[in-house]
Amino acid sequence: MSDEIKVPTHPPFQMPSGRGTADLEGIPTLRSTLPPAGNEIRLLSRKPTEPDYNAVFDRVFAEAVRHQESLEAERTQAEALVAELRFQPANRRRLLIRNSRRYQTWAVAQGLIDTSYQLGFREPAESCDFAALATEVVEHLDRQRYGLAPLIDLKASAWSQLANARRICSDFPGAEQAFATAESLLAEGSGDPLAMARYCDLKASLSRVQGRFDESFRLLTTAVQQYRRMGEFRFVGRALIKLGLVHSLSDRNHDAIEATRAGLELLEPATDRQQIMTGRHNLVRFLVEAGRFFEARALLLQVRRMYQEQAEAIPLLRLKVMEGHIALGLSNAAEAEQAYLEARAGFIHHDLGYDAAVVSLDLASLLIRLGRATEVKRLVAEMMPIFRSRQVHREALAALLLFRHAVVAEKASLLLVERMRTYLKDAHKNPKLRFDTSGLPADPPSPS
Amino acid sequence: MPLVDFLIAVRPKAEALLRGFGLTTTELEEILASTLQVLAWRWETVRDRETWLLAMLERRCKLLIEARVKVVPE
Repeated sequence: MSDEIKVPTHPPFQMPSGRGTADLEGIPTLRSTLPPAGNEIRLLSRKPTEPDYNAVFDRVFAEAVRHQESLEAERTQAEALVAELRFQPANRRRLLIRNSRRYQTWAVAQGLIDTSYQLGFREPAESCDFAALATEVVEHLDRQRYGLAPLIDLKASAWSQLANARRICSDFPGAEQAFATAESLLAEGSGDPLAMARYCDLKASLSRVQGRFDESFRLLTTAVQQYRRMGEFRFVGRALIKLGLVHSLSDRNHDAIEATRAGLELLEPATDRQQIMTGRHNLVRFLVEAGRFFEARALLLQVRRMYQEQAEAIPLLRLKVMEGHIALGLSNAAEAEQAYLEARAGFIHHDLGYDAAVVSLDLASLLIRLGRATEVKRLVAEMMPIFRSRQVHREALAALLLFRHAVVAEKASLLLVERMRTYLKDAHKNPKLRFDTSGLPADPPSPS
Repeated sequence: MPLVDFLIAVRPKAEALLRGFGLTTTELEEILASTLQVLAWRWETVRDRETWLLAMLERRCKLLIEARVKVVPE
């Protein structure tokens, strides 16, 4: 009996006619088995016990090579198209991607996702817009050309990036929503372990800023395992640096140092400069918190050099605060005071009210230790008008008023300063948070 | 490394892996073609392509076998 069967070709590899001329020189098996035109392939004389895998391998491999060549051309065009979008206003960008087929390609969608990720470091609103554009472009892509499972993976990737961009813009409900969409898409996609790892990695950052540290830890652990299994050690490094931050927020300082150090070793200077700066800056902070001031100072010099090369003004100010902490830890009060004053002036100049408030409290703490009560009163008196005009929330302003009252009454202890400092850091992300007034003098003056 | 060289190098391992699952040629073609398509797109971003490809193929085969078990009546 004839064992002739008919097998449908896989739709994703149907190529537009006339495209794809892979160089198959020297590979006779591939070259001789390029698939016939049409939707069906005839496989002859297959033995049921030993399927003819060779023919399938030859055919599919040859298609893959031809397919990749056409993708290369698409990628080259996409770079220019995505760069062009950067100079268009938001509404024009949407018009272009909806109405011009040039923009409706996989490579443009991927380029938008990558650009959104890069913009997240410096231009969060633009990062959100590019990720949103990517979620639109993926809806216009040709399922026949790209294949269903890879297309679903790409949609999941676009929604994960949109979630990440929204998280950076502090739109946490919007980020949750976008992650939920990404998760349901991933369940239907190709099962790519790297796509899953990326999702866990990005979602862990949202869990972290929402204070769900256990969830963040679990997600990052999963991401690290998947990246490691797939040999993606650069991404293991990035995830370990985030894990260090979660350890630190969970008061596991030793683990924070270990994870960050391990992560930094895996990063690559050519591609991970931003992550290296962030990782080293975090490590300086963890070392300071562990009281390891000499190590922190040595590392701080490296980080400062990197920031200076990149002209990163605000991170340099935050590093200046660390310099103050290190100087204080090494019993150099004058140097610490100078560093805090410089950082404070810089934060005020850049309208960073919360950062200015927190470093003012560091300065207040130093002055209290030095017994310079009059200067503490003057410092706190100066704080109020500055913070009123610099986006400091109402609850935080009320807390600062209470603190001023304690200072005036000469009842501001170091413990109170530390409580106030912790409160301000938390209140920055949660404007409704109220300050615990226990231990403060009664009948504070009413806010003016 | 160009894709064509990579495929030639990885073929013995991929073939051995896929034979172990006893797939029909239709199943083989479906899994191999869709996985290679994902790889074509991820070509620039996946560092360890061999590990990635073999892990993806293994995962797809396992899912297929699980699905087969679910639909076979007792």
